[in-house]
Amino acid sequence: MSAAAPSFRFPPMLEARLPNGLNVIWVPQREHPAMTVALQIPAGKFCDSREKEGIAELAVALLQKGPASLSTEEFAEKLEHTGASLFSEVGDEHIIIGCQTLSRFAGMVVPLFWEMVRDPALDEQEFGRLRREMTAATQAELVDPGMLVKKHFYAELFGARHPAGRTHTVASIKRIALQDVRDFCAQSLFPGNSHLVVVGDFDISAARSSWETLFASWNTAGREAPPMPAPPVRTGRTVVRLVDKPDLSQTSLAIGHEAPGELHDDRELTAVANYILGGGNFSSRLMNAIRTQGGKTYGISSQIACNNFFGAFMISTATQNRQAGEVLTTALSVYREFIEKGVTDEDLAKAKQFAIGSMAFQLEGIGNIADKLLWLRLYKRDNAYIEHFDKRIAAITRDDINRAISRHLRTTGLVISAVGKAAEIRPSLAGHGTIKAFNYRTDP
Amino acid sequence: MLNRIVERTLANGLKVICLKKTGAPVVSVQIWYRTGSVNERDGVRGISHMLEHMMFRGSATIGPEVHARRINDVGGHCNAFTAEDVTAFFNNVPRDCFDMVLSLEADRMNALTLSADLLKTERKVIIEEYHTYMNNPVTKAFLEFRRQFFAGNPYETSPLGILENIQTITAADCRAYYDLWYSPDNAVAVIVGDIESEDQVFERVAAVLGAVRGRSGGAARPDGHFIAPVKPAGIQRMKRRVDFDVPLLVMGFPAPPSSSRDALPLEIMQQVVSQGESSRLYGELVRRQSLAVMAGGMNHYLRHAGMSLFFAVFTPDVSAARIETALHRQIEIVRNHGITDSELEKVKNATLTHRVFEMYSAEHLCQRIGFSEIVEGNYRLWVERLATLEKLTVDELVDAVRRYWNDEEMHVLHLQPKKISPLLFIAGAAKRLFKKKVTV
Repeated sequence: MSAAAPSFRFPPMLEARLPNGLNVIWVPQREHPAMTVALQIPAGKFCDSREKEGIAELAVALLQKGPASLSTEEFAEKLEHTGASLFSEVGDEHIIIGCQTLSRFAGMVVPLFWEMVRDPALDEQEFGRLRREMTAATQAELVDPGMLVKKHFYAELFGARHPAGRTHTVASIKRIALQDVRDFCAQSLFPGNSHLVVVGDFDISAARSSWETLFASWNTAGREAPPMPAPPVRTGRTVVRLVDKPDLSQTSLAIGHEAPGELHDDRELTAVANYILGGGNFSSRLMNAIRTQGGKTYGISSQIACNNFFGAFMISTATQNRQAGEVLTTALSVYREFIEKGVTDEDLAKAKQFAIGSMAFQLEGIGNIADKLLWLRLYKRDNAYIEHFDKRIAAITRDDINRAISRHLRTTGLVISAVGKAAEIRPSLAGHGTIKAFNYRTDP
Repeated sequence: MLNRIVERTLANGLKVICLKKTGAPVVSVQIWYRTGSVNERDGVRGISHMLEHMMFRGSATIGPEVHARRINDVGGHCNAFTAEDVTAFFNNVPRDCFDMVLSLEADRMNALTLSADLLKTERKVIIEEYHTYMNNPVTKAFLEFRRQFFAGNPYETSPLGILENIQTITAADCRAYYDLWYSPDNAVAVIVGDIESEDQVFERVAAVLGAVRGRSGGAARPDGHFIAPVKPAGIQRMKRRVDFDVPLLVMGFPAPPSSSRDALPLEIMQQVVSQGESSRLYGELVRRQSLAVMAGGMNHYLRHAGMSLFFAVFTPDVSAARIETALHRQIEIVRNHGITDSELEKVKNATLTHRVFEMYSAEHLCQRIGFSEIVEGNYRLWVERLATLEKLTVDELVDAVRRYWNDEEMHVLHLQPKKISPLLFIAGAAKRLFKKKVTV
């Protein structure tokens, strides 16, 4: 690896903040005749009012029904006629709204997209329609044990007092009024602190002269959300949330505890450690013990989901009810040994190679470039963070990783969430912690 | 870019298709075998999927799951899937790991272990996967619907197989299946990515995968045991009460095999009817009539047959009969009156946009080429699709619809919730009252 030149280099780009506070990143990439425009706003589900969870998601969906100047049908027809499409992502602390289009239609599509952002219709009938759609989708989630187990895991881990412990339900959606969505848009969707990436086939000076004034015309004042505090660290006994769904032949399990956030100094160390434990698919210890050796599951993995200042470490899997206790015990035993003995030099070398090698895929294509740039800016990082990623990873030592494991991973005070046939699995879970029983139809 | 695709067939019968694509220092190597659940006989339904799993369980020189680990170790990822007509294996790696992937693929094409011990463990994994699907009542009901739709031919069983068969398939069954179907003359290698040159790729593939010898011993491979489905006598309806809170209605019509000249016209009509907010179904059932919460559709093309599916999700206060009538009405309208030039133009633009965005990913390009080569019969059908689309007229599209979306061959699945949430019922009724007030 060369010491002078970074292994990963973004294409040339121009980044400038407009008078309205919007940071625009222009990335000409003329490989194919297409463009992606993506706007990231630092507000998300954590802004939802208590008992009205779902506001941010409804707001983003409603926004995409078009600007006030057009009917919803006219907007959909105009956009879809060109082959363009919208996309969105609603995270805990951010929202992304974007569109992709052939470059030959960009002159019409980009201003239309921007009008939608700047002056959304937020129409009442569309709101009613979307609320019904979201209600039906939430009802449909009741048949997905993988979804249920995660909702209950987060509810137990963070508790109802913290936004990370709350999720939208049929009841919370019902309580949301159009005014709540309008308030969310007025307060949270504004150009200051937002980032816009324009990537693809365009001439940079022509694009700037056509669209910079347009982007600067978004002048909502908004209100910056206060930084989200980390929830308190759990102490004491492990809690088992047992969610009864009597028709299931399999039990879905989620096991874990809180973890450092994205901005923590140990973030990359915990990510590499997680790869070795359960993030590395067939290379991981959990997969090897429970699927490859035992044949007890189709899949088992661990992940650390991060927000700015806190995260959650979670092992997840599913197995037939009769062996749920055995799989839980084995997974905990693998986890305990991982914490006690740490990683080997061989484990670490492979994990580092994975982290460095996989970066090539993360910058393939204009969609991935836009995603990566927005991810960097969300955490106030510049491009050098990626361009020097390989050097930082290469410098990690076994002692660094093992220290981070000791600091952040543990097998006490866990949250275990299990969705399955309670009558069959309860006895095998009883020894793992204090059981809290739920029915799958009960809101988490 | 697609006119730069090149192909060669090696002496052992392996077809190699290659495309140089720059933009990221990665390469995708995929091996597509011309076999899937359509080739299974009674008693071993699920063996194709089992072989797919066993292909990761090692050979004389490579241990169980070592293939996947070696790919992971360089930052790549690999996976596989089993479908009705094909079983495909994917490897995406940094470009300097190309040779390593070829060796791994040659190894499992040449000498898979397939021991009874390994099969015993992997069978458990497959049964776990089976339960994961079957624990979803909607999937379970849809598989039943599919059995009825394809009654009497091998497509009636999904690639997931039959549990009783999965429990009894032996290592000898797997060995016989492997020897017959997992042979270089029954496979296509697709390579897309940041390669040095096509010639260099062919040279490397010939040296490594070209050295694998076939094991079928000249045995004829039955072409899918395919029997054309018996045409049903009139509309076939299936109703199931399930533990799923949202009523769902699915309407299915026969579609042509993927290689048919009618496949593209029918795909265009499907898009006009069901794709996007400006589609016929969304505009009519969701927006104007407020009958459904969501509506859409898709075509499922197979090598010997196909299905055109339409669906609507609705609230419990609307009768399934009303939804069926409304869905059917939209089919009837396009069947009798066709579509507008503007709708055709919209589909052309959408298809072109989709194609251009596919070009950014080596993996997606590989998939499209592999699927088209095996399931459609020739990857050039996919390459030339945009040109073919340009020439199609509205009359040709309507002709295709009239040939396939016929009432006497219509299948309907109605999923009715076991429990109806009063909240949903009230919300649905209120919605219609409100709608009535504002529209009359």
